[in-house]
Amino acid sequence: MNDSAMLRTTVMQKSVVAITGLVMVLFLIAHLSGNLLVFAGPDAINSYAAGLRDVSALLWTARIVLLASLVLHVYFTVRLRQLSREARPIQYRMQRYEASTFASRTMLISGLVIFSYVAFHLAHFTWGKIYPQYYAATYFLDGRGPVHDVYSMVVRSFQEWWISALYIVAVTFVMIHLVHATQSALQTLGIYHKRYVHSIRKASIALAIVLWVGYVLIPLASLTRILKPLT
Amino acid sequence: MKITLHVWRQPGPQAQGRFETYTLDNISPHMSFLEMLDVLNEQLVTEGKEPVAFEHDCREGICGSCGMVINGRPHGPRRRTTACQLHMRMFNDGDEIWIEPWRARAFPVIKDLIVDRSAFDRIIAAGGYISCHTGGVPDANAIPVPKPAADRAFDAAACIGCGACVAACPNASAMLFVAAKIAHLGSLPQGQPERYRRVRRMVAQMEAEGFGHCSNHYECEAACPKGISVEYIAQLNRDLRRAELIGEEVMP
Ligand code: HEM
Ligand code: SF4
Ligand code: FES
Repeated sequence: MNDSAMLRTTVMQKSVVAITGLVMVLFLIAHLSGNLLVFAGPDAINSYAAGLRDVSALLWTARIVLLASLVLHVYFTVRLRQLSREARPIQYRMQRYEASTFASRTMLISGLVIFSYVAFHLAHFTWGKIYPQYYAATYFLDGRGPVHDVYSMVVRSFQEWWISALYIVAVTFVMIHLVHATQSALQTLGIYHKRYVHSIRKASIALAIVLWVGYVLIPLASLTRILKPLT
Repeated sequence: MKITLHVWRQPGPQAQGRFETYTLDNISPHMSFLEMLDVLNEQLVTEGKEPVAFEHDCREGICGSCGMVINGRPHGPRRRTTACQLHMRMFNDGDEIWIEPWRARAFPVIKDLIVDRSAFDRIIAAGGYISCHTGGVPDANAIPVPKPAADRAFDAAACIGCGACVAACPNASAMLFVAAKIAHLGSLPQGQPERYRRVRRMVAQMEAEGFGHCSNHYECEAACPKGISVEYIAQLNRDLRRAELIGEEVMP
């Protein structure tokens, strides 16, 4: 990049990481809210899913924003990490950490695990490549007719133990990532005041845990047959 | 006290370094850490060996020259304390102590525990100043400074340029040091004219020196002997984005 390029400094690159990261955090919240509709029954989640496909312009905008966020996020984090590894060519014989966390020091690992899982997740639920027979199910929605049976697809898939196991592992890496991520992004964006910084850091951890619990509930409820497939 | 030391010995910038082990038998707990090293050096000189090179000047925690990593912590185990102000009573009889230089590409070792911190000087030269007229002594209080701004600038100005923030950071980032200067000068009315030009130039120099980026690990704040807050890094981020997105002109 030439010298006048706006993104030439690590500070500006990190700002992109923060904004794209927050976009994905917001998505995780929205996505969970939608997913939890499985507990409200097949009608609720299937009409929600059909509704999303109706507003296809909006859906595609969201998809493109998310994809762009993911690509930019990964590109800049990998680049920044590489640069910073070079900044300390000789490691310490002994190093004691006081303020950093397991989460903050493993962001690249947790991120790369999430990245690989996202590909699998899309192949599974969005493109229907992992269990095509579950993906093919249809559901008759009152006042509308046959729609894609998201409810049965999700519950049946999660009753395959390995799908659930993989999912729970991935969601755990998301939690580890988020324990550091949200408060870090706000700090990067310059939101800091001694009066509320500690609340922000605690809320960030709380959000990570709440999202973990929410996401993990669905495979657990399917495995334990609290959620049952329709046929 | 009896102490076993493992000290990084490196004859010169290009030379290969390694740890050497020394034992000291008669260390008083009242000695400062540097006085303990003085005792070691006397012993080494008596034995006809090369003394350990370490940097020091004021020995009262204000010059910032005495940095070394002691048992994995820059300036040693005590919070908000420089190596020269650390006392041997922080250690126990029979302890083993590992002593290493700051490790960062931008701080090359000159000899043993001494590193070349002139990268900091070049960052300051790039923008860590204000422009003013020379000549007569200006009237004190001629420029009103709001008390909160004065306090903020004063806290940031406590930075002694020791480099412990870089040493502690897993990314060897110099953000806390640079942020302290940005907040110090940028909080005062005298610093406003160059505020946005300053942040761009100092950050550009920081990056040219080969320091890492900021991941918000907050190790710098924990290691800083002057308790400089990462709050100033948040300010640096804001100021730099303002400069990059809107421009260097300072609006009234
Ligand atoms: C669910 C998807 C993801 C979310 C919600 C997310 C969120 C975030 C957020 C909010 C930050 C903090 C940014 C800052 O401190 O300014 C961050 C940092 C980071 N993310 Fe992600 N991220 C996601 C996926 C990924 C992926 C796929 C990678 C793969 C490389 C990754 C790697 C990183 C790294 C390495 C950092 C630390 C950057 C640094 O060194 O400062 N993230 N993430
Ligand atoms: S910010 Fe603290 S640790 Fe860094 S150079 Fe200044 S005084 Fe030393
Ligand atoms: S010798 Fe001056 S701060 Fe330690």
